This record gives sequence, C-alpha cells and structure tokens, in this order.
Amino acid sequence: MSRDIRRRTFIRSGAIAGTALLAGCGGDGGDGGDGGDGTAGDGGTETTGDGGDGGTGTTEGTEEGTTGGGSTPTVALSVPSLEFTFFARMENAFNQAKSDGMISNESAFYDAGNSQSQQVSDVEAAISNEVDFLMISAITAEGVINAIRQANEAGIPVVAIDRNVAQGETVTYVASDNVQLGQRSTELCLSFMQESGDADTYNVVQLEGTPGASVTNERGEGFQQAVDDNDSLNRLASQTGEFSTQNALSVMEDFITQYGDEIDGVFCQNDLMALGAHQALNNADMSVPVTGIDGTEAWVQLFADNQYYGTIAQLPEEMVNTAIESGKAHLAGESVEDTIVIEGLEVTQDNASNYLSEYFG
Amino acid sequence: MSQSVADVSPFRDRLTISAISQYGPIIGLVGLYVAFALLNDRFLTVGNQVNVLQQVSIIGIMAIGVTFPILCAEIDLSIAQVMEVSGLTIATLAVGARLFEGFAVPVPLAILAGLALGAAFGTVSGYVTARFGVPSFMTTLAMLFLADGFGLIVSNNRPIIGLPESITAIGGSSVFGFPSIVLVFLSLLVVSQLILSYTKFGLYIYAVGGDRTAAERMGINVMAVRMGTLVISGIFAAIAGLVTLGRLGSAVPTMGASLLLPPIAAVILGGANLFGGSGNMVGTLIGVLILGVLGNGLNLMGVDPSGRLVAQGIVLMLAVLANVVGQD
Repeated sequence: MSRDIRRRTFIRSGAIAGTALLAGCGGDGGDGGDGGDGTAGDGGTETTGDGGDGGTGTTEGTEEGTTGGGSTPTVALSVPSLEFTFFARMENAFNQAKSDGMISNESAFYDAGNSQSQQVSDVEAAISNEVDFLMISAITAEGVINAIRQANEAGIPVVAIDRNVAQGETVTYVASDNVQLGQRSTELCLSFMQESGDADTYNVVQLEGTPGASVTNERGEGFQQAVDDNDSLNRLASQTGEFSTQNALSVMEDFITQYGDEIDGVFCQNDLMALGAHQALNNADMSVPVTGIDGTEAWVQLFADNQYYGTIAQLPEEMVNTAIESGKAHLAGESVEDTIVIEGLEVTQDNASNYLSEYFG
Repeated sequence: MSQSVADVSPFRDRLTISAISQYGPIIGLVGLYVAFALLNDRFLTVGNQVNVLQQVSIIGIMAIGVTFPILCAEIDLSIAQVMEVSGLTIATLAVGARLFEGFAVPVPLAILAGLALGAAFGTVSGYVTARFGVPSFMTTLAMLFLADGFGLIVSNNRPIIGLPESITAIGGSSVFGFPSIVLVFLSLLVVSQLILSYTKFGLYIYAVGGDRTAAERMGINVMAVRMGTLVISGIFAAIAGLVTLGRLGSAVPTMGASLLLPPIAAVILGGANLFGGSGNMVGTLIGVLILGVLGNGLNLMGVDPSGRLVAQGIVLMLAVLANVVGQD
C-alpha cells in the first residue's frame, strides 16, 4: 500500500514537473521556434528549401582555396538548426556560393541542431581549421560569447547573420529589420484597402505573434509606426494568434463577430496566421485585404486567385550572399557598415509567380 | 436515531468544500456566460455560440482522448504532436506530396493510415508504460519528440494546400447549417461517456485509476487497461488532426503548436482528478467550454494578449485549487 502511495506521489510530482517543463518547451519548440530571440521562428514557419538547387551543384573549384584574403576565401557558416527551412535556404545559398566559386571548396557549413554547446564546438572547429572568416547565426545572442571571443583572439573576423551576438567583435550584422517588415506589410495592406475602396479612414485589425517574443514586439512596433504615420489608418483591434494558423482562425472569427463589416483590412505578423485569417474571412463570405510577413510558399500560392493579398518576404539567400561579400570586403581592407539591413521583398499578385519560381523552383 | 442522522448528513455534504468543488466547474461556466453576456451584446448571439463550439472542437476532441489516461492515473503529453503528425500524414498521403511524392492514395486509405499512426504512437507509449512500469509522462514525453520529428519529415516542414474536398468536408462542412466539426466532437463525447458508463473497460479504468494494487488483486488486467487508455488518446489525437485539416483548409506543420496544455487544462478544469479515479466526459466538456468561452469573450471585448493571459492564469489557478482542495 505504501509503495502504491509513493508511486502516486511520484506520478503526481512527475506530472506537475512534466507539465511545467512542457509549458516551457511548448512555447519554444511548439511554435516552430518563434519563442527564440531572432527571426528563427519565421524560419521555422517558413516554407522553402529548393532541394536540388545548390546541394547537388556541380563542384567547380576553379581556384583551390587560396587562404589569406584571396578572391576565394575559406569560410564557415554556423546556423541554429536545419529544422527551420529558413536555415535550409541559407545552406542552399551557401552551397550555391561554393559552386559559383565565391568561396573556396573547403568552406564548411555547420548545423548545430538547436544545441548551444554544439554550436560552440562548431565555431571552435572552424577556428582550428583557420578559416578566413566566420559567419554565424547564433542560437542565443549570449550563448556564443566565448566562442566569438576565441575567434577574435585568433584574428578571425566574424559576421553575424539574422541573429546578432551579445558581445565580442563582429565585422557586421546582416539581417532583416523586423520593425521595417511590420511597417511595410501594414502599409501594403493600406494600399490594398485604398485600391479596393475609397474611404477617409481604414480600419485594420492586427494578428500578433507569440506574446513576449522579440519578433512579435518588433513587428508590432512597425505596425504601430504605420498607424501613427498614416492618418487614414485606424487600429481597430489587436490580438495574439501566436504565429499559428489555427489560433489566428479562431481570433479572426471573433473579430468578425465583434466588428463585422467595420474591418477593412487584416495585418498578420506572419504568413501562417494570414492563412488562418483567409480561412475565417472565406467562411464568413468576406473579402478584405490581408497581408503577412515571411514569404511562405503556401500563402504566396493563394495570391493567384486573391487580389488584395500580399506579404513581405524575407530573403535568407540574400543574407548569406551579403554576408560573404561583406566578409570579403573586410578581408580586402575595406570598411563595412556595422549593420546591413536586408530589405524584404514585397510580394503581391503581380510578382507571386516570379517569386515562387525563383525561390521555390 | 438513524433517521435523524440520515436527515442531517446530506445537508452537511452540500456545504462542504468538496461539494462546492464538485459543482465548481459548472458554476464557473455559468458565471462566465453571465459576465460576458452583460459585458458584450454580441456574445450571446447564436452565431457566436456556434463559433465558440467550432473553436473548442479540436481541443475538445483531444481533451476527450486524454481524459481516458488521466482517469487511469496516467498522462499523455504527446497528444499535440501526434495530432500534428497524423494530420500531416493524412494530408501528405492524400495529396501525394513531400515524403510521399508520387504515392498518392485514395482518401479513405490516407485517413486510415493517419488514424493507425496515432494508434501506433499510443500503443508504443502504452506498452512501454504498462509492461515496464515507466511513468507515462516519460514515455509520452519521448513520443512527443518522436512524433514531432516524424511530422517534420513527412511534411518537410512546409504547409500542404490543395487538399481534396472529401477530407476537408469532415471538419469543414456544415450539416443543416451546423458545423460538422462540432457534430464530430459531440458524437465522440457521447460515445466516450457511454464507454465509461456502460462497459467493463470503463469500469476498470476507474478501478485502476483509483487504486492500482486493489484492481490487480481483483483480477483486472491492469496492463491492458493502462495501455488501452493511451491507445485511445492516440487515436483521438489523430482524429483531431483529421478534422483540423477541414477547419484550416490546409495542413500546417505547426498546427499542434500550443495545443498540448489546453486539452489537459480542460480536463482538470472539468473537475477530473489529475491523479486518477474520478471525473467524467461531461466535466471535460464543461472544462473545454470554460477555456473556449473565456478566450472568445475576452477577444470580443478587445482585451489585449497580456490581459488575456492573466485572465486565463487566474481561472486555471482557481480551477486547480478547487480540484486539489476538493479531493482531500
């Protein structure tokens, strides 16, 4: 009997501990990584990975890895996890750069598999291989501090991509500006609303991402800026859809119940929520402009038969290429900006098919 | 003498904390309805109530499934990911994309495969739990990661659109103007309650959940019962994945995100003992509705995300308090 009681106590405490643990995990992994501190989540929710694009590219290797700042430097790129297709796109771009002869054939790509210690080991391996420069998208800004310091001591320049590092010297930081993405997507929505009907003010509702994530805050800030800058734009309501299609669908249904025809447009902080908003509007036989952020394949495909839909696509390929160029410029002794913003690409019905064929083949 | 005792005790029972906690969930639900009806004039409309039912159906189906293991003093932490991988498998097979590129199968077969996958996850965690005595929160935690990984493999982490009508109709059509997803939810609820009330298996679940040793001594096959409950919750999670396809009109690799805790929370909100032996499906329904009504009402009132989280936290804390105090 006492054994049984002990076991039940164990199950009891275990269940509580497990639930608490998963509450933490759920916020992080469950949302496809949106709990992380960069745009990784968007990587996770993004749909991409042109499989055959670079991976099997023909290896040319015109010049054999001339080290020391030559035209084809040996570099290393470390990313948090290929689980997020955002980073898979980075890998493709990296391989493409290799086969194009932008970087040497000895250049190495490291997938940390979401493990902070693995990423540190990867950086250390790159340092021992004496790469010409290192590109890194950190899992957490703080977790790689020591590794960055080691690279600094070894005199290896570091370029941060997509997510910055907290300390240590970096040549530059290449990333999208989430505030800008939010503002541009909201303004795209406004221009759709102006096209679809003439009014003095337009009421827009916002579907926010996971509460507390920096992406959510920054994109929300961009939304607010757009509302402040444009007198004709009025924020009707704002609620979290937690970056998920399903939550966005429910929230949008409630918005429709509460505001109905007052809603002139919907701004979603990512494309997956735009899918949900579209579904809810469709069910209610409503047709209003919807915009998202990321450039997700499924959402862009919807543009074909929906006029007033759009997104601001993030471009990991361009991030990698810009990072390589700025690293090379640094090696050549040129000065490089501290931060390089990769402008997102505005995708609407007009360029949807081009976008899809260029990035998703 | 005995007469007077019998007269007094029911009256006393009604005033104890445990009696209050027994009716707590329903009181809470009615309270929420009254409050939101007063605060918002659109809350009590038929359209909105149908919306609420529609919005809780997916969580509801998963909550029904996870009620079985909870009644049996087990827990299933893998439901959200099993739901995800099953839904993605059904969609991918039916469309013939991603992992199954060029292997499109007829819709019924795809559905069967998805449900079988859910059952398989439940069988593995159930077998390891029951046969080797590993606590179910550990086996199902392992299943959580496993199912999550399979989901990513199957879908290649990309949404799948263009699902055949015959699949989306299950969760996305309406029957006489009533959403089919709600009908699926309510019929599963009725069937589950009948299983609990009128079958030997249902009786055994309570017996094993209440006192495993005693149940074993009475000759109940404890292993089969414990395993059975986890298989059931796996199947229900897979059904939830199936109807989600219809509700969303697509299959999204993150569709299980943030769906682990709400179903478990709903079961607890409904007054089931988290440590086995008591509870029923009606309670689960009430718990699911409390969560759904709370979210919907706060949305309608325009409460911002932070306020919404605070409100949900308070309600859950009160419910857990009532649950534990009532059991002592």
